[in-house]
Amino acid sequence: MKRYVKRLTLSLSLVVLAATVSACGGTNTNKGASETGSANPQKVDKKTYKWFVARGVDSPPAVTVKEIAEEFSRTHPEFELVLEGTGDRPSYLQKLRTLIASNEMPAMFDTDSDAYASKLVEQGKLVDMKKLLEELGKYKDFRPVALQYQQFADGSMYTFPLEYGIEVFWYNIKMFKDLGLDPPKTFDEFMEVAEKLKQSGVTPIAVDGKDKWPVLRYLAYKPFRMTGNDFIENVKQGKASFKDPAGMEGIKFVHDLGTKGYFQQGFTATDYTAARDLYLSGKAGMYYMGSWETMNFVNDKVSAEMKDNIGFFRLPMMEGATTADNDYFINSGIGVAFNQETFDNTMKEFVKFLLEQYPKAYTEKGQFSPFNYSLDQEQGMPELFYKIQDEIAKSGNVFAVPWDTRLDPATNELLGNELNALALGAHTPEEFAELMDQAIKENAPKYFK
Amino acid sequence: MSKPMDKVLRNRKAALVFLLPALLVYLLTVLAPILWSMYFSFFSWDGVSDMLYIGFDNYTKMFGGDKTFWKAFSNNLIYVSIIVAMQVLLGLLVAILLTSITKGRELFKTLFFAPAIITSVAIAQLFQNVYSFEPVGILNYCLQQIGLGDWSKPWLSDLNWALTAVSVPEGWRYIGLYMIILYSALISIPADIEEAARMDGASSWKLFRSIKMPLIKPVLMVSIIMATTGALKGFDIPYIMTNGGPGRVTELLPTYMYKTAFSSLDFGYGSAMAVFIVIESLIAVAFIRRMMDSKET
Repeated sequence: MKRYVKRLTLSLSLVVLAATVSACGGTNTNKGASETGSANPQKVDKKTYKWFVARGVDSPPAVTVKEIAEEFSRTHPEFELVLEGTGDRPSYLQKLRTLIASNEMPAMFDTDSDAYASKLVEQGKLVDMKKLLEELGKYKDFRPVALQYQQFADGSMYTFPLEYGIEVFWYNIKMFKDLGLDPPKTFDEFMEVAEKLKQSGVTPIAVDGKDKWPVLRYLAYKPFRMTGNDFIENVKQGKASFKDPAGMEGIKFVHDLGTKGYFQQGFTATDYTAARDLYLSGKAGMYYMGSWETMNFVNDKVSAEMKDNIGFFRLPMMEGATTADNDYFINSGIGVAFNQETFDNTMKEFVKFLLEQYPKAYTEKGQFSPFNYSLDQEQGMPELFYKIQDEIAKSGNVFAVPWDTRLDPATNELLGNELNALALGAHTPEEFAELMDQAIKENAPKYFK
Repeated sequence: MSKPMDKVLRNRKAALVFLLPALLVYLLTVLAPILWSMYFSFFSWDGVSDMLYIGFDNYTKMFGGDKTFWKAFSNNLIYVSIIVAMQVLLGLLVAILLTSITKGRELFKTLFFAPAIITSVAIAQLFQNVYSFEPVGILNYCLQQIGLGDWSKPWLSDLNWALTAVSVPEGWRYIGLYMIILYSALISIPADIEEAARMDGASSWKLFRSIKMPLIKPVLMVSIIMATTGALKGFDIPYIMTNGGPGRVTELLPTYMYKTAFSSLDFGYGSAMAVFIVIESLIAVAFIRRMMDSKET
């Protein structure tokens, strides 16, 4: 018996030993590889850079960058960019954060300038993008709002944008005309329109409740009109309360929309494309989404009848608004950050090349780029494209920040879940405000000091 | 069996040596992560900053103030009961029916077993379409057709029904698996026992209750244990279908654990929950064994 015990301990210690050896081995080879990579630049070793993409590898920005990277590889045979992506934001973030927690941060990755990213900056893991763009002489090529959107509250910037979009309410022109409705200018009119649509038997608003951020936008409209971004910047640190007028107005708005049945039935289980299809099939009167959808509203898959029926209006106004009607959600999408550790000269040259090629290549795909670059009428884009392009030119300089890029991760997680429940009537507005204040009290101190 | 092979199998030391590789793999993939989780559960860690030792704080929070945790725990119990009922009871029923038919038995077996080999993602998608309200899914369509239109609802968004709705697919999926296991147990009962009982005038129910049931009891117990532990770690289908929502009505312990660790970035607290799930499963197994054994006396 004793002998077996001895052997058992021996084998157990072997296991532990094997585990430690393999763990050390792992880190050693990693280090070795990157060291040889930078120590012998003259050797044409293939250097593979991974870009972890949050928007799906077939999205226009990813496809454009991929094309440009391939072109770059022709003159720089050592360079190779590999894309890995997932379109579903929550699982993207989970994957990314797990990779980073296990010390495998990709060379390039998509991230918002959120509380988590600022932690990475604190640890010196990201390349200072402001410095880089200025060094490359590219800072002025961007639309000012596009870069402002990528900045942290203190004005520093560690990500650069690939997209540019304004967010509007798309509506069904024919449906509105038949019912004698005009696009609403105020939130009161907005509620009236929704009520009339509902009474005529159609779903007033199609919304993607599964991804959570689209519902979250509805919570943010009124606070933005009332206070600009002050409310969110204060409430995220517990300096303001959700029970303040701005917070309660936002909460009541979502509660009303949900409980009055203005969102489609079962919206919490509806995903991004299903919500869009609901609008495009003419079953819903309104649909809030960014200008990045423009080409999806005019492509061949949309029925001819619906194609000419797509109009848009701006975020409604309200009494006592402090922001103008051309201030609304404007953003330059999720930004791209670079890993400080793998950022070498090749990568730098690639970024320079990318910034030169990107505006034209991207805009010709029917997209709006974060650069000062636009297409004229001769380019033959669809009419809706030019309409949105005009609207972008008319937009203001104050823009609403998405709340999910501002709150700490734990509060954000809770907010997304409970907001759907609020819209289903599971909480009263007061209960919801209390719940959020509690969550912020508990979680915010870890992220905002 | 050939002589040398026989000799090796009789040699206990040799058997031990051959068991070692499997043991190693097992220790590395099962025991080591559990120990790691226990270690992590004493820290506050967001994956980026330094780890901060906080002793039993995570456990205090879990058992003390976290309402969501207890909500997830009670949801999990309901989830387990629905799934065990479906898998074992319906599985047993189908197995019994199978033993009494001869025609088309293989066909039925295959059809019932088919869902068990489909991936969770596909099943989740399938049931999302079944439950869908807008555009109308199969379930709501059927309800309308048979005149029960009032009952149709967006099942996955309904605060009262969502939990049941996410439980059913997992239960449905493995009915076939337990059917096969229980069916094998039933047909392994020697025919002469059954004949003897019939000659003594036992009814079908009596035959089942007093003869077949006790004989398949060990298999039944294993099935219940498998179904219970399987449901306790239920994750994929509820996670894909509702992500724990709306609110927390379909939150299970594993989904809450996962979200705590990877969305809320509280790896320490998530690990504490993982440890709880391990202990909970062990208790459940012990409990079931207790219950089944005590019935015997």
